[in-house]
Amino acid sequence: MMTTFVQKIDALLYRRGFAVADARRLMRNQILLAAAGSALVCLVTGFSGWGLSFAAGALIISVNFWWLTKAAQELVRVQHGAVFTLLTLFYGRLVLTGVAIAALVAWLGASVFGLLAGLSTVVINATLWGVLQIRHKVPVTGNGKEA
Amino acid sequence: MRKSLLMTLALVLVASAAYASDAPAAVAAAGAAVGPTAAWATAIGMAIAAGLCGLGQGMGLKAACEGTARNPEAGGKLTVTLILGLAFIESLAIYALVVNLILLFVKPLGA
Repeated sequence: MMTTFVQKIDALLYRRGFAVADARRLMRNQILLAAAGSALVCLVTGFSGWGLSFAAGALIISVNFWWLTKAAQELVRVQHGAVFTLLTLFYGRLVLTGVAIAALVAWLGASVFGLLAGLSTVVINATLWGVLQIRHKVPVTGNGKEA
Repeated sequence: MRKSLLMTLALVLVASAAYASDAPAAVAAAGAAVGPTAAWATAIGMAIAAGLCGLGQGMGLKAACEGTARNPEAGGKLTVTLILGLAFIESLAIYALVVNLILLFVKPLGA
């Protein structure tokens, strides 16, 4: 069942323009991590303010990461004006993220630490990805015959 | 360049102190002088964070483009590495944004 679910997410991402396989996996992991983390935290904390703030932070950063991943796939192939495009996209995303976070912190009274924890899901995802890649790429050595 | 940067920094510091001293004495005694200074700090902090993160992302993208141009077969791997780098850099800007919003709205240093 889980495999089917993951395959459905992969197919959806492919249809949405995530052509690079590793980028698709990265985005899929982010979606799963954010969804599972939010559900777990909300259930454990009994849908408290902290849990809902975590879910809001995870949602904001996942949407942000979605745009970033889609843009990065295209930008690598652009030969002129890539830096300008990236800077424009960066500031546009930052403004939208800023408005959403400001609304949560200033007007809706969200828990700041919950929000920060939710926003950190993308860092956790990227770190896990990096660690797993390093583990898979490190060659097996040390059989005592090198010297 | 360095001289103008130092002058700008000095002006900002003097201006923030002047704005802070303009607050009424009663409010300042209650620690509200932190307010204007915090507003200046958040504005400058966000400008520095956003500007430097934007520059960092631009440089990372430039390197990825050059790498893809030299070795197109490695484009996929470079793209994933680029995405990870961009995500890390952007999360720093978002953390700075959250800290600035805390300073501005939650006011942990006083009213």
